[in-house]
Amino acid sequence: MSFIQRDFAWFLLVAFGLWWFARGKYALRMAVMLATSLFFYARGHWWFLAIIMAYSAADWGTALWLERTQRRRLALATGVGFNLAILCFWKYTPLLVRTFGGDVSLSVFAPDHWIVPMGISFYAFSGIAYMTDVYRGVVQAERSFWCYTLFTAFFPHLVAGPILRAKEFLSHLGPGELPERPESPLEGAFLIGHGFFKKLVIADSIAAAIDPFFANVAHPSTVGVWSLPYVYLYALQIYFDFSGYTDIARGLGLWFGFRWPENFNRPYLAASIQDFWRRWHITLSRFLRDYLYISLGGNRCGALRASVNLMITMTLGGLWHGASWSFLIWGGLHGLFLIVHRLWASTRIQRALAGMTGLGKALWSAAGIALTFNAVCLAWCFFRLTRLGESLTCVRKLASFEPGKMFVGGAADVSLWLLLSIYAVAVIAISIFTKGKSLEHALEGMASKPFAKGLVLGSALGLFVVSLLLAITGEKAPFIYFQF
Amino acid sequence: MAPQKIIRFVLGLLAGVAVPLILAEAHVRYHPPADMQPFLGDESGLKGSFRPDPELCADYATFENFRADYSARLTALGALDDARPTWLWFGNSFVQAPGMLGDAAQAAMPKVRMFYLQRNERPWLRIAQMRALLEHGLHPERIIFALLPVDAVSLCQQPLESIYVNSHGAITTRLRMPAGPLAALIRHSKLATLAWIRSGRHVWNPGFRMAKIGETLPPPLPDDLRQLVSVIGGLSRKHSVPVTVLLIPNREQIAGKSKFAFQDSMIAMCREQGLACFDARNVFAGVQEKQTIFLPDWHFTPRGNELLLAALLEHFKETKNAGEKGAP
Repeated sequence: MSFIQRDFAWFLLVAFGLWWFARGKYALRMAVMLATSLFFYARGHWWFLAIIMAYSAADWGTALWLERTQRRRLALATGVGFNLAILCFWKYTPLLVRTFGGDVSLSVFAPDHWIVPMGISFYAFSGIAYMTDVYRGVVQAERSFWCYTLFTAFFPHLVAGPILRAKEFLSHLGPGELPERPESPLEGAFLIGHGFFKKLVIADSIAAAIDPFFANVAHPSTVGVWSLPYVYLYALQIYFDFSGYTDIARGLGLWFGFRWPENFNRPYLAASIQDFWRRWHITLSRFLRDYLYISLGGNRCGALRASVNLMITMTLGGLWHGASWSFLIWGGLHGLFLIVHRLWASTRIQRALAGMTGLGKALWSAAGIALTFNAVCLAWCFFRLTRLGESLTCVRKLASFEPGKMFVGGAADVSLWLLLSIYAVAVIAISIFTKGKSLEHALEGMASKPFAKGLVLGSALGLFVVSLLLAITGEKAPFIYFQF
Repeated sequence: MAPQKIIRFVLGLLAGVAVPLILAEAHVRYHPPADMQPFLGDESGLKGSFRPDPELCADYATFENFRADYSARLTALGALDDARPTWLWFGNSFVQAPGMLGDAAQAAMPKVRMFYLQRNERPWLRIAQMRALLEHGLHPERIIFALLPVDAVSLCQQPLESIYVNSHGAITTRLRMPAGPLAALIRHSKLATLAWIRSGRHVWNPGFRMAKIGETLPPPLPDDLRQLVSVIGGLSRKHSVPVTVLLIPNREQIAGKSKFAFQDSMIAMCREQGLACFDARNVFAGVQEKQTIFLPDWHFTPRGNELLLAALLEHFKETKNAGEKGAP
């Protein structure tokens, strides 16, 4: 099931109603949360249940084993190996069979027949993070299998994250810890309304405008068309799509009493590529940093080794998204950008420029933002187009185009640009109104201001209604990150 | 909570709801999205080269507009009064797409010019094109007007009475309005209009299902088809050109259990107008392996087109309507 399916509204009503009804009854409330989550996950694909239960059992058992055994490395390697083996089987089998097994067009391995269980990458990573945290002594192994299964399967974060650490969620599931009432329901409502608006109105409008170009990027009909505006729009689409999903997930988390970390923090305002990865898909980048980059040695083994570690981390991060050369190149490009940034950051001239004040600082910062955004957009060409030839064509069209075809087709849709402009003005106005505070802190200051509280709730409702009214018709495009 | 606080909260709530709605209304009003434009009538930004027509609801404003729209094809055709034998084909992609019936006919009868416009238009516009060509000097030996049940979909959802040529010459569609206060809201709010369009309830027959067309023709489709057949009959008589309405069955009728209400109605209407009609429902009955006549996209394979063409030519022979000059 997906948040944007009509059935989800009914599901949420029932799930929240049952959860509310089960107040004060720990076991019943756990049962409600677990049962509704498993129903949410498995509806239409009941065999998904076997996979998620196998993951939960393996990770839960491995963590207990880790606490009791002297051979802790072996235990961790077994648990992580299990997670990665199952993940790789589902994600990479069609590619391997295609590479080594010849024609698979009619077999179960054909891409059209092969169904990757939704969210498997996300709960596999959550499981790896949990076992590693137990190994490192950051958290204790969970004793209750059902608590651990709920940590893995709780529906708001199940399909596309955020990728949670045990201390952010699992440690709140025990008796006496499980929330009895929503945490900041106003904030939750606003996040949900805003998330639906981002996805159904902005991201889907952009998709409708740019998808025909990307579908025909190598076709003669797009000869001479400038790809840059399309790539810029795709950068916005993936941001609004994924951050919209995360907003809904975090909002639902708040309604069920859990506060989860942000996944996006104005990523396209990052002044460097390192800064970008601190703002973009934050829970994935911290996972890659804490459980892969640091495990490889991080930057403790000299500059060369640190660069190699960065490249390994980012290319594996790219491959996590899918089995194709273009994802590998996407990850590799980000690895390269990060290495170049490290080298640049160690130069005297960079330190001198970073030390500027006033107008010079503002200009330098703006240049950094522009450079970072364009570098990220270059890499998006390989992310959006998973056939390498098409990716390269898109990159070539960044620099090679006919002057009369700079802004044509969906990129010249005035209505879309107007929508983006109105949204940008509204965001700036809200930032001024809240003095740049996060929503959580802004709401804290509104505790004694009923008009402001009403305004926030009304905005949430208004955004939700507008999302429903303006939602693009036809088959709803699934969230982009559902495929990963 | 004190009453004053409740009032403030409610005021804030209303303001909060209103702001996104007002911004969205302004956005849609100032620059309506592309999918809304065909339903805005004179307020639409769409421009075209059409004029209203009492018989077909819309027609090309001038022949030059038609010529400009199909310049490549009409240039390839050459002079309209050329004496070479010409068969004029109208239909959807089953006729006009590369490798389909038109191409198959050309390959089978190289001495005859097989002309088709290579673009799929709605049925009434195909008749407007036929009229434009006939009235500007083309005198074909024969016209084949092909129809599939799927051609009726556009007429079901946008019947002739819903078609409106706006003041800029573009073909637009009148909205089906709901009953009650919702209609007033839709008339006054562009946001509500867009929501109505995107709900999919705006079409004239929102409950129409393609699968049902084998069983019965929903109103006003029979009236519209009768009107179109009558225009074709009038053109045939006026220009003394034999027109054959070719009824091609769809996949569900060939390989499934779908019935033939569409074909049955069309045959009766053609008979009323004295038009020749070839119903191809039995052409593929003898084919044991039906997959050999369908491409993955449900168009016919070369073999499927060969069978259809052979049956059509045989029909011409039998009815002694085939022109002597170009007959195989």
